[in-house]
Amino acid sequence: MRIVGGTDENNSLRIEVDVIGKCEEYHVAALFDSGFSGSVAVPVSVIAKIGANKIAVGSVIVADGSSHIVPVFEGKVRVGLMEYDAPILVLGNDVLVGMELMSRFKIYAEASVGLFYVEEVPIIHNLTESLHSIRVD
Amino acid sequence: MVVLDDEQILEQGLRDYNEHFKMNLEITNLGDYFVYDPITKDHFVSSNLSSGLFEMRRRYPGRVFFSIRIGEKGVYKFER
Repeated sequence: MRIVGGTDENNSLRIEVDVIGKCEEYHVAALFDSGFSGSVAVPVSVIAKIGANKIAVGSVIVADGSSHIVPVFEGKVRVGLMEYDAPILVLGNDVLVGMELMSRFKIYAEASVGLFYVEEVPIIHNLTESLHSIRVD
Repeated sequence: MVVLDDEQILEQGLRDYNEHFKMNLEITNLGDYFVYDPITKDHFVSSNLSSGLFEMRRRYPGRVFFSIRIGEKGVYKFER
């Protein structure tokens, strides 16, 4: 399945996702930040809205090398029709998706019209088994 | 039940990680995620943070854990 994203007024890539908590879901055009190694980061207002259990704390290292303590919440992210378990960081003023989530996808850009396309990449868990199942006639 | 705040979890977790786990894990599990309970001293290492958190939550429901990516200074980073 192919999902279409677009660029915003700053030419940043955005993709529509649902951030899923215990109580509610939050639909948003999230900023795809390829420099972010995690799955999803949301402002505190979003976590308050969707309801989620805090499950961990950790340090996040930012571009200038400084570190910040962030809480990590249990949650899921829906991209298209697929849901993925996602540790949710509470940080900043925008909803970001990062490489831990987006590395599941192939991403194609049509820069002239400000669109990009996202397709899920199938994960081959057992390459040997998969190769044996291929018939060559 | 002992309850630690976020700073205590981070401080204790980082101290225990550096003293008891870091050296060996950076050889055997570089790039994996370390999830640790500073109270029970139990831990789990996995290739993604979700799996580690899920397993530790299964063992200790309701707890808040320390997490770090092995070989890094934090659990995640923003490079820009």
